[in-house]
Amino acid sequence: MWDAPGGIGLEVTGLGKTYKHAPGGRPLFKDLSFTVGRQDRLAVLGRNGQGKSTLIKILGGALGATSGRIDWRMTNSWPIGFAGGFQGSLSGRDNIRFLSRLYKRDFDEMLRRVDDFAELGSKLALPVKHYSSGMRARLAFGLSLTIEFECYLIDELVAVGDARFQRKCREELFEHRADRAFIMASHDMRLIEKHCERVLIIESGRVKMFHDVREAIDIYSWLRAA
Amino acid sequence: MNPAKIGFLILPSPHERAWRSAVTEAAVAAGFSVAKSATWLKSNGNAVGQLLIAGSAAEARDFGDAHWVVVTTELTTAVNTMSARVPHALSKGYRLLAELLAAQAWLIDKGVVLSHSDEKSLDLPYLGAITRECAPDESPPVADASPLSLYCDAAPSVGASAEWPHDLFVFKNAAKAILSPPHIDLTGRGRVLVYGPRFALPPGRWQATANFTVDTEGSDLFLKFQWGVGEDFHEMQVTLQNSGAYEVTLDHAWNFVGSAELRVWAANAHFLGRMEFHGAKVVRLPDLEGELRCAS
Repeated sequence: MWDAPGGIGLEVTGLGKTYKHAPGGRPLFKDLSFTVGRQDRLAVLGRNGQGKSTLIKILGGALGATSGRIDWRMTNSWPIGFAGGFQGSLSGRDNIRFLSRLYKRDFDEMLRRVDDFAELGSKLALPVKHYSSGMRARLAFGLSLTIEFECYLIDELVAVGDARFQRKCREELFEHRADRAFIMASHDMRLIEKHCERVLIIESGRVKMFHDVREAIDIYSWLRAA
Repeated sequence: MNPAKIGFLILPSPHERAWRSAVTEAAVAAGFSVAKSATWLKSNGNAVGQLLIAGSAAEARDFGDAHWVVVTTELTTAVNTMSARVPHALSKGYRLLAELLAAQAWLIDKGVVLSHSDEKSLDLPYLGAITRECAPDESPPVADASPLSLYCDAAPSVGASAEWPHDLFVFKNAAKAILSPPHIDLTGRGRVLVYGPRFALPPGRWQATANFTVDTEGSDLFLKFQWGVGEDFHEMQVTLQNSGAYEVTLDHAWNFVGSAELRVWAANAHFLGRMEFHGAKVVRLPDLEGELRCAS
């Protein structure tokens, strides 16, 4: 029996997703049930197109599920690495202002911390729709760190930006917030092996949980090579 | 002066204890060293004479040149007697008995003549005529002798065979072990799934046919089969794309008596797939031309 680190913070029951126009109405995944502890570190592995990002988006509330239930008992970030939460015609600064009101945070403090992390400087005055994907990811990650969620949903963000920015992301997330939970979809096996305690693999509509990270990586490596 | 050496091999039977006692007493009375270990006798046995009560072909071989006395019985009697001794570990009983049966087959191949345990007296070299006591009238429970049926004739000839059901094998981390046969979830890294039963076989070419079913769950399954003794085995790898029942056959030559093991592996990591291993059939094949066997 698996004990959720710090107590259960997320319970997912019978989750499924089928896109309307999927060939043969084939579900992307189905019957997915798992729990995440308040200090749990869960990796999501799967080949391209198997549903990793979809799962992260559903957990973050950016996409609806076809079936099942998601019960959050801790605050969760939006999917980091996914820019869907921004209003494109607003500037970076105005998006920060909007979120500071939504999450009841002090705007000036939030602006300072986001800018400190994202290093966007004067670009914060530009509409977000003019940002590159890397800039949007930096803004999203900076915002999520500033709001201090209990669980971070990450979709390959750490692959964005240069080596220095990636190092900064890893330090902020895995060292300065070592007591938080995160659910991370990634192809970076070294990162997963170093930081994750469990792995969820999505493949051909089936989902399995692994408590042995090394074993999950072996399986995933084989799936990728096959 | 070289000591007189007597090797004594006896199969389990209601008279076994009586024969052991009678032979041991006679040997001790004649000044022989008596032991179950050839190695011990080599360093501690006296110069007058040595009696080895052998439990395996390896012990018999290590003892070197000796006069051998083999007291045999019917296979069913041997199995029933052994099962009464290890009632809760029949697989272990088969394994111990297979060691004796394989040693017997090897000694027959070397020209040793068998005596039957029902006889009342034996003529032993150096020790003369020996008479056993009458064993108490006991009939051991009837056990299934089929896993060792290849020893129906004391020395298995070409075509001798046995069925080894799944419960003689070890299932590594099989889920739902309560089911018969256990369901094996192939999910996981490449690993050994099933192995056993480590029953001794005499020298010769032996064929094993593994019998199993798979549910591929829509993915390719990569299984590896090994048949032989320890690190000396024949290996075959198969890729299965359809669910169903399968047989995999492997041949391997035993150069000397050795514990036969069939191993089934997941050849690499699997995400999906299930397997049920039902057992194996073992058959003695003709030796291939030019195949060498250990003569000593």
